[in-house]
Amino acid sequence: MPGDIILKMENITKRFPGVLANDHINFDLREGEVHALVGENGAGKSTLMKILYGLYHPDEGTIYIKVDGELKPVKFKNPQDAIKHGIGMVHQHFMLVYGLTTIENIILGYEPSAVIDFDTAKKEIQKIMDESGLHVPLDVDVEVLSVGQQQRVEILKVLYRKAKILILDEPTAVLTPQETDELFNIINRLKEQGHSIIFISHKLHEVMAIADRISVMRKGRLVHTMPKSEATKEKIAELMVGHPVLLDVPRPNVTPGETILEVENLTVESDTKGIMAVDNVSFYIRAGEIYGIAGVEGNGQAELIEAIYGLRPPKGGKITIKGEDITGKPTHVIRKKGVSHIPGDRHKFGVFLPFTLADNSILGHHREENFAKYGIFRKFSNIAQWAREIIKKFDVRTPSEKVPMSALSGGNQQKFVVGREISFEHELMIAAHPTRGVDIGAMEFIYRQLFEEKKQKKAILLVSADLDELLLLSDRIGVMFKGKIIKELDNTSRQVTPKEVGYYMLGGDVEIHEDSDIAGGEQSA
Amino acid sequence: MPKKKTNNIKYFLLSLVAPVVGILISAILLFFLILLIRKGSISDTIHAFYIMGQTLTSTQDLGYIIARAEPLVISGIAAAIAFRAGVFNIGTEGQYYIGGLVASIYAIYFSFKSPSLHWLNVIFVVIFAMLGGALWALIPAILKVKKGVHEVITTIMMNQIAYTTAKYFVNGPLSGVKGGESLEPKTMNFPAAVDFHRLYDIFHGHFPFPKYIPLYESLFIAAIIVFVAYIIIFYTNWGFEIEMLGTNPNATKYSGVPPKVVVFNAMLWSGAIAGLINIQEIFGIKGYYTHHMTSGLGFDGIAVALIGYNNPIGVVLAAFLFGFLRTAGYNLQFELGIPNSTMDLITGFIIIVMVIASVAMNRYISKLRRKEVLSEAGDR
Repeated sequence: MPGDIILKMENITKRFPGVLANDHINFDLREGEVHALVGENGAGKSTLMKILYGLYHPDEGTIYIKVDGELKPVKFKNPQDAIKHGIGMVHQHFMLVYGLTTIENIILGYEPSAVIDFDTAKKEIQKIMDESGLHVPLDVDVEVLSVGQQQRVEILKVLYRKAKILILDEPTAVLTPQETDELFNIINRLKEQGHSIIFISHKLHEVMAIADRISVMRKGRLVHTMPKSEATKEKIAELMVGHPVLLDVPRPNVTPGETILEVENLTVESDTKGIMAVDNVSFYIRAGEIYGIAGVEGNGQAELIEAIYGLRPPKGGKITIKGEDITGKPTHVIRKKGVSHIPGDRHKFGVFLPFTLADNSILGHHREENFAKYGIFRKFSNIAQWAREIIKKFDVRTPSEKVPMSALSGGNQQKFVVGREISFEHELMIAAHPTRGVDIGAMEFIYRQLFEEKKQKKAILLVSADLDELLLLSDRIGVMFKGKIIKELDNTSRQVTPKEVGYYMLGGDVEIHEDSDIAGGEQSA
Repeated sequence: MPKKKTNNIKYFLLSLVAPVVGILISAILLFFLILLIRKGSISDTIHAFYIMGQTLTSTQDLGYIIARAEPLVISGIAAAIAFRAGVFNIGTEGQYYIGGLVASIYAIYFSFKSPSLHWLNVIFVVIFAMLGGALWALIPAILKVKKGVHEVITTIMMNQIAYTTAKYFVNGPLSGVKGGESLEPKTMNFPAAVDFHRLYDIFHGHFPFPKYIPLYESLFIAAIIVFVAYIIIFYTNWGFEIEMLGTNPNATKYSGVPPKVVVFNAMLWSGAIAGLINIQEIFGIKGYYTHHMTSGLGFDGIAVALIGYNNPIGVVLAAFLFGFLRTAGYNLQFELGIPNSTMDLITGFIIIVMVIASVAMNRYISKLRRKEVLSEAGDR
């Protein structure tokens, strides 16, 4: 049973240029408890944990750790400091050295003596393995271990460094359901031995299965902390998504035309071999229609877009644009067939920060005759003219098209990207999180632009983590769960409620099986 | 509008701060080094700087500076093309050994023997040297694109293989060492119709060109490379796509440009140009091929590209700086007994100071730009 508070984070604030990543956060952890930290990507979970682990330094606030029965303020200069105070982190992406054996990986940096005494180390690790139930072969190259086993090595590493507080960063993201069950057994065992665990996830059924307390983060703030007894999945989902200021942009009345995009039985493999991120998905979008994809992030939305946009070859199924098969075609061909794309992460995928706005305005179309003679020699005055039109039409605040993209504020960068993608000839617009990280003004502007697209009889595929945005814009909403569109909702007269979408986002009926599985695993622990 | 113009000039001048600072600080360091070597004699030290200044005013020394800069210009551009794409081709060293070797095989066995077809020989030498260099870059390029093997590893290994391959050909099939002659390993001599003409021989009789200037036709080839590279980098979509990839590979992929194709092409072109690095020495100065030619030109080219900001004009200036330091170094050694390696030390120092200064300056410049844009746009 959870005991005293052993860790307290008080008023933690961290600013990055243009973003308040952590806004006066208060968080604590009791001895022998699992405290889950949930929130969408970008909510600030990782930042908070990196501060706790000494990777970042908070701008404001204090961390207290229980030392000799008393909470004392501490300052971590680096992760070594945090480890010394009994805090260990298991990263989502493993930090293992391939080519070294399990035992070598575990003791790396914390060898028992200058001349490594493997026997002592082995004895000690064996003891930890027996206590925790984490069994892995010690004398093999870690590379040959399965993903689940590698994760155990990571946990062993942390335990070997005598950590009492374990941070598990989305530990189930890489695991199969069976491995997840085993991990939960181990977590329960560690709990019994008095370890405390911070469990980061955005999979709600897992959080409900394993956590004692649950804290929800949204947009850099910790919005609520509650014991599991008070929590329901619906409540957590509501807190995660939040109720942003409702923008009421009038929806134009457009009768849908011919089918533009048709996706039939599409199956796409995830980064992990053999696991299908998109599983037999079918839908269509007509001209003048906005089709929204809802779902908790990581349920295949990203892979779906990548497959349609030609960045990830599908395993099976068919994608057509106006009847023309584009399945497996490369991106530049697909763009030419009339597909525009507002990427979800503009800094990573949408712009070249050091390039001028002019150079950024022609991406992917730079070989067209209008922008380059014979497709080779760049026509600078035409490019500048094109950029100036985008700037003017989409109200991008900048002195000229000659400034580098990095000089613009986030909202203006996004307006420029939206403007660019709209300006190219297209039939289908794939908009992924089009308003992520922009202010209300830019948000409303982008909504109006998407409605303008609708009026121009374009087909629009909208993927968003913002439920209100989806409900406001979409004519139909497909809810993705574990790679499948498990429900399609008609929203032509904005009749769908967030609650309804939320129900299916969590798997609807499918979910019940999931829970009983995990509950079973828990009992056997 | 005039305000904007002055701003662009301002940013251009600011970007020059780093090299100027690098050279100034290095000059100060050099002052103290020489002072140390000459056991505290201020007058000797001042004399040393006087000698260095003279290097720039003597016609013959200027000729040597250009001759030393020429291979570095080609090498710097070869490296810069790869660097701009974010590909670290450090195999230019091996690529010029093989480029020279392939061109030499052409010269020995397949070249036109008639002096009137000399110009055709020059063209074919260039083509074969480029093919040789590209061939040597092909293997790392394929390994990188198909298997994801890092090019630094493969190109370094290819350097080693290039050297031994050259050695084999020089001592084996192409060997020109006959009994009684010098024992220095070399290939057979090239036919006279291949040997690059000296600029003196070309210009002599048309206008006064100093006789003892070790410059050859290959200078024109270097000039053409600079010009073409400049056009490609700044005026074509090839250069634009290379720049895209070097800046943001993810966004490159999203805009439909296949990164692998760009990497592959950049690597091959870098290698092709690297094949030409030492044609001055092989076809101008020597007239035969040997693995005992000037080595390290590839690695120096990497430094030149770094100092020249991967810009062809910058590369020319940086290569000129290297040529000057070398030539001045020889003069200092000759006249004051200051070890030549002092100049290598200074060269390294310039690189370090410049890199640090340019990082700081770039940060300052982008901050300044952002501020300016935000204030002009009236945006938050």
